[in-house]
Amino acid sequence: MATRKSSAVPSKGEDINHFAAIRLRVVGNGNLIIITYGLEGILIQQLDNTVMQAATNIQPTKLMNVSQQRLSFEFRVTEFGEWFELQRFIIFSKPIYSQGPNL
Amino acid sequence: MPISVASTYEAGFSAPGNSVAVNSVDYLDAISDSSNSKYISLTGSAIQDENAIFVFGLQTVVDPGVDTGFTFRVVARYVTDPGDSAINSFSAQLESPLGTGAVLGNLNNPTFESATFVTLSIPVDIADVQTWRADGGFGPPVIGVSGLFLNQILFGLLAGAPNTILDISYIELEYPSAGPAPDLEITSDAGLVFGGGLGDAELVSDAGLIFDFSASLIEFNEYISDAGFIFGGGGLASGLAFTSDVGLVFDFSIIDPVISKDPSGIYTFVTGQHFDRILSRNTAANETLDVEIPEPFGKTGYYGG
Repeated sequence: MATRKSSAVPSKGEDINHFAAIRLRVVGNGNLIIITYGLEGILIQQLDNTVMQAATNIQPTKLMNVSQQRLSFEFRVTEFGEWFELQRFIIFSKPIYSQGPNL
Repeated sequence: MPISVASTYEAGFSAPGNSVAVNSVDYLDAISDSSNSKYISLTGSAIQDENAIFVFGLQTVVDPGVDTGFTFRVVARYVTDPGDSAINSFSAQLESPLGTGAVLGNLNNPTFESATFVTLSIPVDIADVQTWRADGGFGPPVIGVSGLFLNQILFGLLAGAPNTILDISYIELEYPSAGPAPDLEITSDAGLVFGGGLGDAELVSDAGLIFDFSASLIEFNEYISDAGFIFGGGGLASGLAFTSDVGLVFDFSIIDPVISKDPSGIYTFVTGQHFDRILSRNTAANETLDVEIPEPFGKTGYYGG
């Protein structure tokens, strides 16, 4: 029996989406690292680091240029003593192709 | 605190060319009496240039543990007739049994020419004091064994000074009071090595014992302690490593280690908390240990579709 990977949004046909940016409301200490993965956890792109502060009035928008059917976002810090609280993020994307040449 | 001479070890001056007289019962009485009524009188020779040599044992000095503040004093007067040659040497030397000690100045052509007694003060070098200490100079004066001796009073005259007179009334050595117990301070470019047949040793300090290893590694060849080995205060800084050629063995059979053998706990989310609280089941009180979360991260599901 086929098993299903985790999915946040029900499938509507697996269009190819262009992901243009992600806007963060985050506080913390250190550099927030954002890594994007395609299906099956294939590494797609690591975005520029975001320098965090314990309190900030800025919601940074991190640009990207990724076209994938599905995209997962990983947020992490790597240095001892670093932490983050991610309160909200907005993903900017839109479907651009219904099918790719190799699909 | 001054000390004077306490004993003599030579019956008289070795001064073939000079004539010696003592204005007292003996040399020791003359030199140890601070009054100027008793003194040794040395008269120059007309025909011979010869040193007068004498040996005194000084009173016992309790080592103050301080190297500064030692001053040698001689109360003397020096009279020469017109036409006589001046004294060509007048000096003294402090000795300990094992060393040559300190030459307390060489007063050639002395400027203290005076018909009355004056006090000549000569500070003693720190290095000479340290030499006395190393050579047993602070023990009771037993010649050839220990003690501090005024070994020589050199009194030399050029020929043709038959009427030159040097009178020595009093000799003393000023030494400092013992200072407060110094803090232990060990400084070495070569490190601190306890080796050889060192048995049980104990370092005790009310203020704690602090080793600063920031400039070099710590090397323990062997560490044995019934009381354990404790990193306290600031703890063990992260990112440093224990390195050993023979492995690193921790025996936790006697006391529980700080790092729990069997950590366990139930994770609960606490708002604003950025560390993990580990519950130790090894202690009856269920002690906890707060640790940093190693590389915390979160990962979303897949967007798109």
